[in-house]
Amino acid sequence: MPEVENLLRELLETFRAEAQEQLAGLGELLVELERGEPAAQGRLVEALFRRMHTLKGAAHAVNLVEVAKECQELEQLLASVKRGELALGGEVFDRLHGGVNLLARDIEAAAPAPRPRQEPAGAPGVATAAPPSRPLPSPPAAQPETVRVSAHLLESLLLQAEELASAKLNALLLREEVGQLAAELAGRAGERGRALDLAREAIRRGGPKGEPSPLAPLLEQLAAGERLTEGVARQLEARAERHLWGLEAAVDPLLAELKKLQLLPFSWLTSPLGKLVRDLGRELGKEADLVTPDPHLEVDRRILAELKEPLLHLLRNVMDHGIEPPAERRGAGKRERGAIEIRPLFPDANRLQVVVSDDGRGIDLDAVRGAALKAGTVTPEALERLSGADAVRLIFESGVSTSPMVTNLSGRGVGLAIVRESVEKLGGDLAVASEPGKGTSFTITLPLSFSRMEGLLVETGGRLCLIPAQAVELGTRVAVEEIRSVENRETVLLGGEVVPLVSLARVLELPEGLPPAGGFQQLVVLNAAGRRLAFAVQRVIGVQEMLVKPLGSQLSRVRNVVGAAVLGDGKVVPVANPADLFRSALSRGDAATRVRSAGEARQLSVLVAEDSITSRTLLKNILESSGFRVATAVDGQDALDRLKGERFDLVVSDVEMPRLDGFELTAAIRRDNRWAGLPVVLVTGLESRAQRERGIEVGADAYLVKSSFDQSSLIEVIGKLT
Amino acid sequence: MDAERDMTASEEQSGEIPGGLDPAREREILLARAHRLAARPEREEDAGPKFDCLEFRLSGESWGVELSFVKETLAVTDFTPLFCTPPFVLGIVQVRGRIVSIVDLRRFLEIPAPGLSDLNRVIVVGDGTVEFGILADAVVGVRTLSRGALQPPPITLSGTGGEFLAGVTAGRLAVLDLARVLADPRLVVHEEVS
Repeated sequence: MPEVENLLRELLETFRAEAQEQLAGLGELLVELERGEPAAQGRLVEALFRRMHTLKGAAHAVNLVEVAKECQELEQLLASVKRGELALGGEVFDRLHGGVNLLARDIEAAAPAPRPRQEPAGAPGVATAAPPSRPLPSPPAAQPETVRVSAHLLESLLLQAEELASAKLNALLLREEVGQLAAELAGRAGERGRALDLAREAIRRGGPKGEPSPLAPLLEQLAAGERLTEGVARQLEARAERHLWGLEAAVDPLLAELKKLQLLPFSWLTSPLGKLVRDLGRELGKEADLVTPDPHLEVDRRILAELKEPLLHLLRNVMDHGIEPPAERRGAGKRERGAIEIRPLFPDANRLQVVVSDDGRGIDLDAVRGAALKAGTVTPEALERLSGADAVRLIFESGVSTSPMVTNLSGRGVGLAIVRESVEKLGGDLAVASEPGKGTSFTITLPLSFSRMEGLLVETGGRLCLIPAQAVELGTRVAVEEIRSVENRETVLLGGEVVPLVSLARVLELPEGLPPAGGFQQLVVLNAAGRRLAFAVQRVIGVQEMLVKPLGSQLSRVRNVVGAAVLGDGKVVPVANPADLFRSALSRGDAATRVRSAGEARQLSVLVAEDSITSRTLLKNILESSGFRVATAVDGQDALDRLKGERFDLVVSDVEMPRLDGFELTAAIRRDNRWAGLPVVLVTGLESRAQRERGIEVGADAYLVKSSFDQSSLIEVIGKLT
Repeated sequence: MDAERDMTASEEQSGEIPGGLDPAREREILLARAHRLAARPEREEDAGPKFDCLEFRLSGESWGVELSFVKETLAVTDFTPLFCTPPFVLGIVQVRGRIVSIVDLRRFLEIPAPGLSDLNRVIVVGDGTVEFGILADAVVGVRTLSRGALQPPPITLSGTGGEFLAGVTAGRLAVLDLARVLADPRLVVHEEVS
C-alpha cells in the first residue's frame, strides 16, 4: 500500500531529524565529559545515558533494529560507568565516540524497513508521537508552541517573498514616471494659459472677416483638455504614491518576519564541531579543545548551512598544520592541549565575521613561498614583489600545500582553496593573519543576506554594473592631477594612504570609456580581506537594494561576476564579484592600471542610428569592442539632434527608421557644411540595386547589407573611412 | 517546402488582414491554406522514425532543433551583454524572474561570416541540467521530419560546426544535435580568474 509506505518514509524523516539532534547532543556531552571536570562527571554520564535511551526508543519505534541494538550496547557501557564498574579513560572514550559515529552513519543510511505484521497500518504515527519509554518529558507549557516545518518549504517561501521586493521597486519607478509626467504638464501651465486666453480673445473678436477662425475653438479645446490631463496625471501620481506606501507597508515587515523565521543560534553550527576536533586529534595524535563563545548570537540558517563545509575544511587544516603534537608544544613552553576558538562577530549590520584562531605554530612563510613556486602558482619574479601579507594568501591557492606528505586529512593543497572558493561564492572573503610560533587566525567575512542586499550601481566602459555594498568602502572622485604613478602603477591618496588605482572597465575586459570629464576621475574604493583598491569608473550612480540571481545553468561561473540583478525598470544588470575584481586587477598588473591612457591616443567616436534596440546594442558592442567610443540615436531625427551637440568622426545608420530614415539622414548631413567631411555608413536589411544606388546618390560613403556583412567588414570599412 | 514558406511569408508581409477582404477571396485563401496543411509531406520525410522539429531562421539560414528540448520561445526586445564571457555568449535576459543566457550558435559552432542578427526571438532549450537561449531572427514553426531524410552535414563545415549537426534536409534545413550541444563541456562557462 503506497500510503503506508509514504507514512513510513515520513516517519523515518522525522526520526532522522530527531536523531541528528540527539547525536549532536551526545557528541557535545562526550567532549565535555572528556574535558574532565570531576564534579560534573556524574551529571554528564547521566545525561548521556538518558539521551542514548531516548534514541534507542525512537529507533525501535521506526523499526530500525540495528540502530536500536547499537544504542543498547552503548547504553550498557554507560550504565557500567554510572555504576562505577568501569573507569572513564582513553579506551572507554574511544568506544563511546566510535559508537556515536557508527550510529550517525547507520541512521543516515537507514531505509524504511517493513513493519512487523501485528501492528495495524494506522498505528505508526502514534508510536513516534509517544515512544514506548521517553524518560525526558516534554518541557513545561511556559514555552510557546512550536511547529516543525521543512526547511525546503521555508526557503521557497522566502524566495517567493523576496520577489515582492522587485514589485516594490517597480512601484517606485512607476510613481517617479507618473510624477515626471505630471510635472511636465504642470510646467506647461503658463503656455497653456496664454494659449487659452488668446483663443478666447480670438473667438470673441471673430476672424478678419467677422466669422470666428476654426483654429481658435480647437486651440481652446486642446488647452482645456491638457489641463484636464494634468489633473488626471496628478491624481495618478497620488494613487501611485499610495500604492507604493501600501506595498512598502506590506512587503517590508513580511520580509523581515520571514527572515526571522530563518534565524538559528550560531551554536547550531559550532556545537557539533567540538567532537570533530576531538576525533581529528585522535587520528593525528594531537590534542586540542574547541572553544566557541557567545552562544546567543542568531544568524540566518542558510548562511550557517553554507558555512558548515568551509568550517570543516578550516578545522581540518588547523588540526593538521596549525596545532603541534603535544611533545613539540611542551618543548615550546605551551599547554599540551592546543586551543582553537571560533568566534562570531557582527562588524556592522550587513556583515557576519567568523574568526577561527589557534595557538599553534603559525604559518611558515618561506615554506609557503616554496610550495607556491613548486606548484607553479606564481613566477619567481612575481613572488619577489609580493609583500608578506600577500604571500601568506598564497595558501589559499589550489595546489599549494606546505605539508611534506599527503595524509587523508590534508596536504593536497585543496582544503583552503575550497574554503576560499565557497566563501567567495557567497559574496564574502577570507583573510588570514599569522604569527610564527604563536598561532594563526582565519577571518571569514560574509554578507548577512545572500540574495537581497545593497549594491552600488556604477557605469563603466559604457555598461552598468552593480558592486555589492558590503565590499565598497567609499565612492568618490579625485582631481586627475592627483593620480600619480608609483613604480609604473597609478595610485591615489585617500585618507592619507596611497591606494593603487585600476580601471574597472579594463578589469572587466571592456573598452575604456570617455576620459574623465571636468578634470575629475570618479572612483570606487573596494575593501576585501583587509586590502584596499580604487577602481576608476565612468560614473557612480547610487546605492540600491538588489535581488541577486544566479546567471543560469549555462553560465556556471563567470569571471568577475557573481550574478545579475533586475533594476526597478526591468533592466538586467550584472553584479560584480569583489574578490575576483581584486584578483583580476592584481593579475592583470600594469595592463589594468593605465587609467589615463584612454585620453592619450584620441579615441574615434561613432554615432549609431538604429531604431531596433537589439541591432543597436549589437552594433554598439561590435564597435566598442574594436575600441571606438559609441553614442546611439533611436532614429534619423535623433541622430541629427545629437550631431548638432557633439563632434563625431563617423555615422553608422540603419536605412529604415521612423521619423527620418537613413537616406534622409544622409542627405541632411550632406546638406550641412558643418558635416561636409563626416563619413556615413548605411547598414541595412534591404538588398536591392535601386536601394544601393539611392544610398550612393544621397551621399553615403558605404552601404553594407546586414545579411552579408560580418563584423570585420564593418570595422574594415570604418578603418578605410576615418 | 521552401516555396510554401515563402508564399506564407509574402502573404503575411503584404499586410492584408483577412477581415478586410471580400468573403469570396477570404474563402479562397483559407481553402488554399487548408490544402497546403492537408498535403502529404514530401516523400523524403517518409523514411525512418519521425520527430518534431522547431524551425527558425538566423542570418538568412534555416535551422532546426528537436522540439522535445524546447522549453519556450520568447520575443526579446532587450538583453544585457555580459562581460568576461566567451564570444558565443551574447548576454543575459530575464524570463519571469529567472536569468537565462543567450548563445549565438554561429559563434559556438564556429560557423564563419555571421551577419548582424535582428535578435527578435530567443528559443529557450534545456535537458534538465543545462539550459540556455538560442538567438534567432525568427521562429518559422514546427515541422515533422524523419531521421532517414537527414543527410550528413556538408564536409565544408569544419570546426565544431559539423560535429553538432544531426544532419541537413534536402530543403537545406540544418538540424542541430541538441543533446550533444547540451552535453558538451565547452558550452558551460566555468572560468576562474587566473
